[in-house]
Amino acid sequence: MRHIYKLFLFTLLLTTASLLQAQPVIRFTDSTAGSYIGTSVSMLQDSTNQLTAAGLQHADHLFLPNKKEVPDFGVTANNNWVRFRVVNLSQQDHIILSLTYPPIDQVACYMSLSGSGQAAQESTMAALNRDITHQYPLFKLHVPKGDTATCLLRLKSNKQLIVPMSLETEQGIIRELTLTDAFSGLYIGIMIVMILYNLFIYFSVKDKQYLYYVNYIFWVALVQAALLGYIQRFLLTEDTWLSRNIFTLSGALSGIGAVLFVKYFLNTKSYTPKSNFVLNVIIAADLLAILLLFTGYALVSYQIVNIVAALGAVTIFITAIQIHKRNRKPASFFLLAWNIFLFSVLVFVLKDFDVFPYNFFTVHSVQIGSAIEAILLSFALADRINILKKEKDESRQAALQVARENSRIIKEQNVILESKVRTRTEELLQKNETINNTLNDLKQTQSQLVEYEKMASLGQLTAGIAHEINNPINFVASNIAPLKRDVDVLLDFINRLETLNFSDIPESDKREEINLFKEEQDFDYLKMEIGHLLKGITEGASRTAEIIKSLRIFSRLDEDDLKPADLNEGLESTVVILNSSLVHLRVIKQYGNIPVINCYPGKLNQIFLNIISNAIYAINEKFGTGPGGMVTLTTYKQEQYVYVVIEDNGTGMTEETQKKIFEPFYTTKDVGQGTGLGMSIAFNIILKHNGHIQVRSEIGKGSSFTIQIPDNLN
Amino acid sequence: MATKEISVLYVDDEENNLVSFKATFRLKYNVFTAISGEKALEIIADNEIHVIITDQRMPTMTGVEFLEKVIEKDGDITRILLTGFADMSAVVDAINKGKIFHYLTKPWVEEELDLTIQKGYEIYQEKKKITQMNDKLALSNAQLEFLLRQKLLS
Repeated sequence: MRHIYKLFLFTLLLTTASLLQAQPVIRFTDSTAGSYIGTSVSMLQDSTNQLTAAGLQHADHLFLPNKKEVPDFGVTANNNWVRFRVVNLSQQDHIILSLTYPPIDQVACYMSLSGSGQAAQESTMAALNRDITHQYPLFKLHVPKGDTATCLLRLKSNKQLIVPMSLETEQGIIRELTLTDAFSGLYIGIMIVMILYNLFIYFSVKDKQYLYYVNYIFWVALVQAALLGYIQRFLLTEDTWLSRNIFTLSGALSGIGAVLFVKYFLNTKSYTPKSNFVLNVIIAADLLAILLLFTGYALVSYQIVNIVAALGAVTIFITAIQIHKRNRKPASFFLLAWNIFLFSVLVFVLKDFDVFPYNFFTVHSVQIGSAIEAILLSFALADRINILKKEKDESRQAALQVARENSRIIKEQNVILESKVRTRTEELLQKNETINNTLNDLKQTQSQLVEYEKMASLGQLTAGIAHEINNPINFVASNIAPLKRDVDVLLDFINRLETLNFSDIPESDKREEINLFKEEQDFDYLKMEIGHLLKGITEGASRTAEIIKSLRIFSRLDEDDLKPADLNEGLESTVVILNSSLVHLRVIKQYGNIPVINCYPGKLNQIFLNIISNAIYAINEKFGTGPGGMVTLTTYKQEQYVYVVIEDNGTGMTEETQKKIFEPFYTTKDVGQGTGLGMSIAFNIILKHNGHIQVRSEIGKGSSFTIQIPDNLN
Repeated sequence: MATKEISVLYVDDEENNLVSFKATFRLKYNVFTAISGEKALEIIADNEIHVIITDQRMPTMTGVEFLEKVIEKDGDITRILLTGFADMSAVVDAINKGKIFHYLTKPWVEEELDLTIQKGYEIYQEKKKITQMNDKLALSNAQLEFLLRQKLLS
């Protein structure tokens, strides 16, 4: 790179040295054909726009020699003149003057041969008026061999006016032009391919950056195509406003496209907000330029576009470096592409300042650079996809890792949990066993208690019975002895009578003896006594039998079958059993007309026994041994139920006692007096009958128990 | 026939028991029977009773209550409780309040009952003797005092 630079610098010095001479005549030979003649021409800028070719024909002094290889008039609205002289030392009849710069709006060529006047050939941007149909302004100069011609060129452009001129042979120019066209075709082909390719990718991937890329490259290609003159040549063949301004317009739009692409691609909004702001300014400036273009300020617009382009290029370069510092790989690709492009633009610009010579590469440097840039950017886009894919892969890997880690943790946790569960289950099982054992114990205790209650009941029962039987048996037992005595007296009397009967003493004596004997023994009383004794024995025996019968009726204690029974009978048997306890109090029996119902008679009798015993106990508590105690037994039938009501006027119960009365082990008696199971067992028995039991009581007044049993048990 | 010395009063609410008792002991003792405590008290007022035998569980007046009343009337009469009701508290009451001489259970054993009555009569006699003695002593004392006073005066 440096060597070439030095070489060009050297060439520059040489060219400058040669310019000290007066304007030479260009020697057109077959060998020198094709080279730029810029250093051999002189220029004149006509600020009046009044000068004509005729007037300037001999005004050599007005022209200033051109020092550059390519004459540069800058951006001017004036007419610009170029003058040169050429001697045809070749074998050709014609010299082709080629201005390899399509953006010249108007160019007119006035040639005068050394002998004759001049023939003016004017040409505009439109191809029609040209001698040869090409976007380059080409003039076929008819200069006979050996002749010298003086040419005047009037040029006008609303863009930067540079005049790269060369003199060619016909074959030479054809070769040049086809080469140029081929190269341009290649370039445009590459650009079109990149555009279409990335457009297709956009439609499949739907990533907006492809669209921005397409937009940018499209306008860049358009600019270049305009620069190369192909737009004018093929599309906008008329000399219209659009054909004159397409260059500036597409330049502005390519600037906008570039900035948009950079913004999106490098995500300047997030990473470099300051640069982002400047880029936005550039977009605004380009839009302003377009506006100015539309409103007729073409030159200003062109200037703005150029300045903005320069500014934009620098800004984008700085932005790219900033982002690259953060080690973002897409930025590095972009940076490379952009650098190449910038460099190509630099080369292109500097060729006009004689830093680089005008040759194929420098003239087409921008095309080469932009093509390479387009390709590299496409790579960058593709690379970005790769990066994204890689990132996606990485994130997926990370996610997978996390998932694996999670599953490992879960497994570990699982194991821990399972072991915990096992321990807990064991604990629970143990507890369960303990509970089961406790339950069994409780059940045993319960059944024991039930037995105990039964025994207590039985005890109560047997005590009652024993007591009951005691009295009647007493009659029987204690009447036997006196009865025997009396019977002996009778037997003795019968013997005496017998003796008397078979003796011979007189009847009156017999009668006296008998009377005496009767008096002695108090016979009348004896008769009565025997009667009483017998009665007593009979009663005693029958009472005992009754008690036994009652006992049998009562003691169906362990029967578990539903049997038809008369509740009145059951109640009565209970009363009999408790007879002696009831002796000192009034028992009022109000047995209703109740039907025989299916029930567990033994169990019901147990209930009656319990309740009546409790009533007696309550009465004894209240009245002591005194009178006044009263127990009322009522039975009646109502709707579907048989009712048994046992009332007493004993001590009564408190509210609390009434609530708790059916609780197992609840008793108001002293320790050892009662088990507290009587009423709870009674409750269960009544439940078994689907019946109800109701308690009403007033403390101090008495209590009443109402039992209802359905009459339709099965 | 020899006159029966001992007068026994038997109190029970069961008629049959009264008959039975009388039948058993009428030849030996002078038997009175009463169906209730009130009736028994009437008999005591009208007759000289030596031994009282009573049942505990009676409707209007229990045996112990009756005995308490008897003590008021005549503390010398021997009191015996005869009951089939084995109530501990009643027994305790009988001993402490009724101040019974003996406690018997039903059904009675005739011989035991017999002996108890006789023993009871003996105790009655003893008490009565002591009472008589005391009376005589009191009389003697009064007479002697009178004489002494007479003597002193004269």
